[in-house]
Amino acid sequence: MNKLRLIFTKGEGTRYIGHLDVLRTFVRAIRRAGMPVKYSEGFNPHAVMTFALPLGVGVTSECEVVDITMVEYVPVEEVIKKVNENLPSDGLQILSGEYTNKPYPEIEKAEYYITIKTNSPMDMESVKNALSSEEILVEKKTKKKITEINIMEHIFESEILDFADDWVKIRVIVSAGSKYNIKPQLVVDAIKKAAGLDISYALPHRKKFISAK
Amino acid sequence: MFDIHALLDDVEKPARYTGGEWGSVIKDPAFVDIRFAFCFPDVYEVGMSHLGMKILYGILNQREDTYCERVFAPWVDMEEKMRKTGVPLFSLETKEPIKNFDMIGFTLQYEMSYTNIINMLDLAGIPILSKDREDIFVVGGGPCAYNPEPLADVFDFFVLGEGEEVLNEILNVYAGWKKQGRSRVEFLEEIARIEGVYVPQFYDVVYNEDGTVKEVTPNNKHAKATVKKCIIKNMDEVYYPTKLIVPYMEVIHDRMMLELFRGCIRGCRFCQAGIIYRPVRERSKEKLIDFAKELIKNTGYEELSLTSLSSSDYTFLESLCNELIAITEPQNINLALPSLRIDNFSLDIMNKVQKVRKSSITFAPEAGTQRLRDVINKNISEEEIISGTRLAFEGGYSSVKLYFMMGLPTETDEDIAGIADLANLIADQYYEVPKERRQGGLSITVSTSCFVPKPHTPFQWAAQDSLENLERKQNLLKTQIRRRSIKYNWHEASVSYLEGAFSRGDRRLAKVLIAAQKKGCKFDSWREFYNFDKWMDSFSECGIDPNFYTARERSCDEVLPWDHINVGVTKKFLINENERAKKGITTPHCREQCSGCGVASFGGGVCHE
Repeated sequence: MNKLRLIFTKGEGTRYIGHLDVLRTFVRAIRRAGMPVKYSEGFNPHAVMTFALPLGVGVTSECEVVDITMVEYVPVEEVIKKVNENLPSDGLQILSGEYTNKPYPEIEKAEYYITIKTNSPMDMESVKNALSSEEILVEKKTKKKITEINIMEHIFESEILDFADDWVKIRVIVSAGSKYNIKPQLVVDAIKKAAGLDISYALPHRKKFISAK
Repeated sequence: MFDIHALLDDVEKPARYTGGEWGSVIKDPAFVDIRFAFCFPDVYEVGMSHLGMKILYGILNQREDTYCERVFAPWVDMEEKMRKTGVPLFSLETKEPIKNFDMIGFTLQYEMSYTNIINMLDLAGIPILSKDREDIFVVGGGPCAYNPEPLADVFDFFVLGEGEEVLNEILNVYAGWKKQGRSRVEFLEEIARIEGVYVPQFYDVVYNEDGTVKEVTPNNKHAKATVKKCIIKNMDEVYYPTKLIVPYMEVIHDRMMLELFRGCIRGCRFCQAGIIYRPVRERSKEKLIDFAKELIKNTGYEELSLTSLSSSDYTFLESLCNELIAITEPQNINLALPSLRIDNFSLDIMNKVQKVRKSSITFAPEAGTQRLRDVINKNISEEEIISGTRLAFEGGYSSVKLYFMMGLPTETDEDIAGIADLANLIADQYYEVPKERRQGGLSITVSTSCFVPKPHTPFQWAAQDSLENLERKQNLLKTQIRRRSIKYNWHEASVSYLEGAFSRGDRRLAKVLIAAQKKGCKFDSWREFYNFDKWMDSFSECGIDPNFYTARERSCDEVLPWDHINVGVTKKFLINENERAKKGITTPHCREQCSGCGVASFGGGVCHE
């Protein structure tokens, strides 16, 4: 059993880096830490790493999952300690790990906390109404095309956690995974449209993955 | 303090602006005396590829009294947001507006970045002209500082040459000056005495009626009549950065670099780098191996690249490569070997390190005929190119890149035709290799750039070819390249025309730069922003004809705007080289025979081996 599954955070210091940046940062941290990981065969050998679900630019997380393959056994605690020392302390940090042979269960949904900051005071009723509406049409972009979808069909839970004049913090559970993935920014787009908000920025944070039974 | 989230929410590549990368230096600004902003006048991914910045960032941050932070030109989308919300240009490390710093340094890598410098100063809220500043000092260095005159009114001082030692001297003076609270001019006077420091405001330029320079004379008793560049004599004793910043986002050269040596023995007559970085000074193999090991340990990078002006000329190249391979291969690190001359040795070494599919080999014959290659002293013969490509084709390569210049002195249409002939000859070599040994289809890429005469070179007096003629030659070559396996790429000639004006320009050009920035010129080396018409409008608005700087052949006794800058190579040597060029006589390289260029006066390097 040499597959090691690591759970890690992506913090404020790395909010604005993309998935490939996270991958590169991990590969180099593992090298610096001197961890004996498996490299791919072929022309350009690279460390073999599998992420459960890519995390986009602008989003932080406390539940990211990556599988690496060790070529020698190293105790989990030692891997975590040494790799964490080589990762940015305010950016990426491993929380826990386990050796396992099981594939990661297929992700169906994900929970996000999203703080939305507006340029002017917002009407909290309109945000509430937006979250409880039947239909909000938004444009979902994929690599190939743009399609219009009703995002409410993919929001399974939502609530307002906290708010002040010009910001609101919400919790949502949305479709996630390789089959159908809703980015948290799309939820922000929907609220913006339905509640007519003048948004300065949004700070999404992934809380947890929810797998199919 | 501004809310950075509001800026970064929807800009392209926001990681350009966040800092915090592995290896970036964190200090408490409250506990330093000097805050230095190192500015690279291009975007993050270009600037972060630059070795000079890594060196100076490391050196300055070794000082306990100094905090050096990085600043890059924000991309246009970010700049627009910053201007709209009134956020001034800030540093990557602490996000502090750079107008609050003590000193800001720009590296001058290419002329077409000058508008970015003006634009960054403007965005920072720092007065663009030196005479309008009250506290902050703006310093420049790098290859374009060897003729800094177009920027003379903008910068408070320049550092000519290699800054590793002299920067520390300057900061020592600054630290003392700041404590004593003396006047701006007193600081500049004190550093004007340091070798390599040029304070342009201490010099008056008088012009002749025809617009040429009559004389440049010091107006301050502390200013030297000529300013000589400074060099590092012993490359094994100088600081080298082995704790690099490892960027999150991909940058242009995203790898470790090993600088083998400075300078170049070759003496190509068009090449400014070949003159200004003289004399050749090598690092010992042992030092390089140590640096490689440290770099690998500290960065975790997966690629190591050798760097120099001509790596094949490194004395211990073969044993260095073998020892490096023994280190890199077991750790799955790729060894990159750019700028190697193609011969048996280099193909063998490339076979060893490149497990990658054999990509392409590169030649830079620079000119199409032997006659013209002799004029420019590019000592590579047709025979060498042919035997090199033949070897490569037999060794399984099928793709060749060829680099040429157009508009070289004495060039005729025959030389242009020579480019096509050479490409054809190389193609013929390919088809002479037995079919079963050829790999894939043949692909030859011919690229031409436009020659820009540069200060301090044997061609510094030459007329630059006109735009019309360059474009005519490009079209001519297009019609002469007929084989489908040969592809032709050419550079925008008008960019070289502007580069030519600023490269050999004088102090009167500052107003053109400022006018161009006002019209929105920036990122001029990026095709999507380059706007020739705006530049020409700026020139005419200022009543300046760029042809005065580009099209005019100078006589050897004309006072050149950069004559008070001394790079160590004598004018006599340059004149002699110019004469030899006209006669098509080549000059041997430094290790064959010393030609007495003058840099032996530095007392180091190849001149004293």
